[in-house]
Amino acid sequence: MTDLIPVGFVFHQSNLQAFQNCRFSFLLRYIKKLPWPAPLAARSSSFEQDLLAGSTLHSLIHQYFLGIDPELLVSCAQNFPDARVSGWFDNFLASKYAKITDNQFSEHSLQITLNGSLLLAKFDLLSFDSNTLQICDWKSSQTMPKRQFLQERVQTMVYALVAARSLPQAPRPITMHYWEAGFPDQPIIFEIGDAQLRKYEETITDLITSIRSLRVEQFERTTNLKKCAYCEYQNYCARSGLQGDEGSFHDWFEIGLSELQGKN
Amino acid sequence: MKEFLSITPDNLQEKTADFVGNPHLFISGPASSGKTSSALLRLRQILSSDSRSTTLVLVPQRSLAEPYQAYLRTHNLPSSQQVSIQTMSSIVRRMIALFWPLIANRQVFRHPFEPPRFLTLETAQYYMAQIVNPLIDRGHFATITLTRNRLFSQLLDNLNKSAIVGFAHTELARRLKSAWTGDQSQLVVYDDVQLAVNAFRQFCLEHNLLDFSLQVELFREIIWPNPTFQKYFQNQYQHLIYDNAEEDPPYVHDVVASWLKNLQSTLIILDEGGGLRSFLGADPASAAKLASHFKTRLQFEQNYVVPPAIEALLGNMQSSQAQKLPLSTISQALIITSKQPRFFPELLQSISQDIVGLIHNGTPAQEIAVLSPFLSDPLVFELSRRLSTAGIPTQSLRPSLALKSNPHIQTVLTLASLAHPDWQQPPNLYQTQSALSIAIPRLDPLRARLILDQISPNKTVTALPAVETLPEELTKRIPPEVLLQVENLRLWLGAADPDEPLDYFISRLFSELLTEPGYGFAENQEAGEHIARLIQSYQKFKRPLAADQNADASYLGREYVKTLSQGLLSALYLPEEEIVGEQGVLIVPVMTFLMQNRFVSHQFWLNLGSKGWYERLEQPLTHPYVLNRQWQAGKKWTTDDELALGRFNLDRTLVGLLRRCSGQVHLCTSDYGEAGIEERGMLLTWAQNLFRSALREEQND
Ligand code: SF4
Repeated sequence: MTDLIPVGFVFHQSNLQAFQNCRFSFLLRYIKKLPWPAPLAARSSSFEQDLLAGSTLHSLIHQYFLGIDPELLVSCAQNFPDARVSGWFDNFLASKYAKITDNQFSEHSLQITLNGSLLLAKFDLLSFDSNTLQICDWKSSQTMPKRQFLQERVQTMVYALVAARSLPQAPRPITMHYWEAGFPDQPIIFEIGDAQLRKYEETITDLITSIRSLRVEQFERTTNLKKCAYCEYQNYCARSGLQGDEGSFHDWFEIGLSELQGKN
Repeated sequence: MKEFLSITPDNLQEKTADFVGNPHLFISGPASSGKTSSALLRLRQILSSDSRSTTLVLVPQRSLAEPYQAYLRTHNLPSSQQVSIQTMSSIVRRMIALFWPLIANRQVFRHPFEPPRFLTLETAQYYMAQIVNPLIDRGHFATITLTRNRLFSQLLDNLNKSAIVGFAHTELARRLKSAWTGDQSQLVVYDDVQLAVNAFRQFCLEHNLLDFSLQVELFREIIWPNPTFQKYFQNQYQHLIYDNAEEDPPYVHDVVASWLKNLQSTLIILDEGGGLRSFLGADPASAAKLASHFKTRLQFEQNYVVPPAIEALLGNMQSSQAQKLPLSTISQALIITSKQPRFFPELLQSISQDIVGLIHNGTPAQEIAVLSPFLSDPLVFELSRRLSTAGIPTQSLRPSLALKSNPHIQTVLTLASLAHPDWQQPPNLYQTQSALSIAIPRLDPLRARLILDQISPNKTVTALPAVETLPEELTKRIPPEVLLQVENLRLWLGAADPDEPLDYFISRLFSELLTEPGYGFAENQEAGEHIARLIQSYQKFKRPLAADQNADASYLGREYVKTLSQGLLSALYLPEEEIVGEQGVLIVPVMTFLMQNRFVSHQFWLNLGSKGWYERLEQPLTHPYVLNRQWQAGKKWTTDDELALGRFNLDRTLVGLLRRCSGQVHLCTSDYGEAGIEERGMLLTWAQNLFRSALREEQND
């Protein structure tokens, strides 16, 4: 254990994902909090636009669950400069996820203590009844992500774990739904049982323990140069101009989206 | 700084902590009487017994929340997530964004369903300039000698006052005129004020622009009364702790008063000596009226901080029969140097020595604060330098990144102007010379000047010269690799795309060139931080403007740089006043310290002769005390009122500081103040009289 991570530090899916992307980026962003000029051009001109569109879709869905008249929301979506948002929102309204029931919590945060560390999750939608617990995450990807990719993500583990451990009632099966606004009929759904949860708990605990155990020089730069393509610190690390892949785009996009929505 | 929870709770504090027995409670008392400690005890009880519900800790300014934040930070509580620390302005801003469709439905704006465009203080000033500059050209505000940015900010301040006090902005001129007693020509100025704010508001409604005043009005009138919002808000928070209510304006008290019935528990805390932010609309009288909504009210009187000598001094100041204090008591509370230095630098020297002495004798550095009504960056720098030489850490406000003086930012903006001839804002010779020698450190200013002299007969520079065009006698004096860098810079700037957004341009300039080996920002972390903030500032600036149809990249870049050069963006965007540095001696303005909700053992008061301790800023276009809910309609603001206000302000500041001092106050004066002149304001006179009369008394005895 080093004392690099202060008492009260909150782990969440974004900083854990950043650590998995690159330990050094975690150090710069979440411990040193170093502001650095983002390589905007390298992130492609649509990166910021995609972030804004994605974040607006999240707001509209949240507003829908708050009980604001859907017609008003449709008018707002239609007047949003990026036309994709209106289409996505129409898709949402036509989907099974637009069904309003009791015990639904939109943009809801929960926090647990895991082996002495705080772990936070902010859910797009959490719904439960006496039999099931359903977690929904809205996405606005341009291409449909692979099931395997989502399954192994820190987000899936953190969400399931925090939801399961923080709700007091007896354990119930968890389903995690990734709903892509551009592919509304192809939600990716994971059913997460007890055994799986125990595995998640082990993985996240190990991850946090390993972060806590590192000395400053052990927060090393990633060796996977693809990860640097969308990282704001690429120029700090002299790693500019590298080619990224879909996975690294997705990693940094999700972190950017969470920040835009004030999720961490 | 002492831990708030280290104080053993007394009976009053236990009562306050008991949120089940006393669910709705109003407490008041002077500073350092244990109010915030009690609130923390209450928060602890809420968190430990009701982990499902959420508590809103409402404060007028984020710095006042520090004890709550420190508590949550240092106690690794899973339920810390159930505490939300907010100011009302942050709630207003977020709720307007979230419930925008409800506002759209009321058709207040010309394009109701388009997204709102939130204005910062700086972008609001930018739009105000668009409205007011043509008015000035037509002869309005002719008698006003303020700089433009102060003029714009006072106009915005008027709008803000109407919103936070709760009267129509169209009444501003009438209210200001009715209290005016001076020259009649000022009445025309108030008509100009009204004309400008009306036009600004109209412009905002046409373009979905929301300055702070409009945000508050929409929140009060549309969002807050709406049942959908109310349902949401009540689900959000079940407990309220509202600290330092006296530092908030009346609209916050109105909102809180109408919310009380829906809360499971409420604690409202009033600091009796407060109202320090009155010039910003804080209304302690309005806050005190909240007490009438509570059956249980507790009065805190115990003093947990102040030693007997300061207590005696406070008692003496507050008593109407001015009983003379013995010199020994005064000297225990207030320390003056035996020999007053003549010049300010000597004073800084002696203060540093005193601080070193205190620390040597066991006082922790964070128990010492150096305070002055205003603190210049050079003063902070000089004092920090002296102390750090002695190994003493200091903390101060993050220096404002003044654009005009920040070399990294100036370099980038100068190069940006060179790359964008379409902006028609060519930098001058000096700016370009300095930018060149910062961008290319091996090119000293003299040689940079020689290069520029080849092409800039008009004292402005429109482009860098090609190296091949430079005379041989000059190129011989500059190493070839440096010439190559100059040429690379010229080519890079010449290839800039005028349609590229400025933030992209800056980001590329930074990463593709200036951080390359041999250039000025290579491995320069500070430069990176400054440029990141510049980009952030531009992005904030362009956000509301970008929705305009004609606002292409070239227009936005030009407007940003022009607005900067006009001084409208005097400082880069920073979240709020922020104290930085490792824990150590605190060097901050008096007001910042008072708004920190903390106390220290030793306070060093500087610039005692300054009128800044009590005088308000000159504000010919507005008036914080007339545009106030407590102002009596029809009453005139006279010179006597102004003088009384000064005395009241000084008293309040002194009491506030003394109540936050657990040891001694060091009065620091030199014959000539920081500005190099002799100043004899009321604080200096008060201190001198206090000592003189005690001395006389002692000699008479
Ligand atoms: S640029 Fe690459 S190595 Fe550097 S912090 Fe980012 S991901 Fe890590």
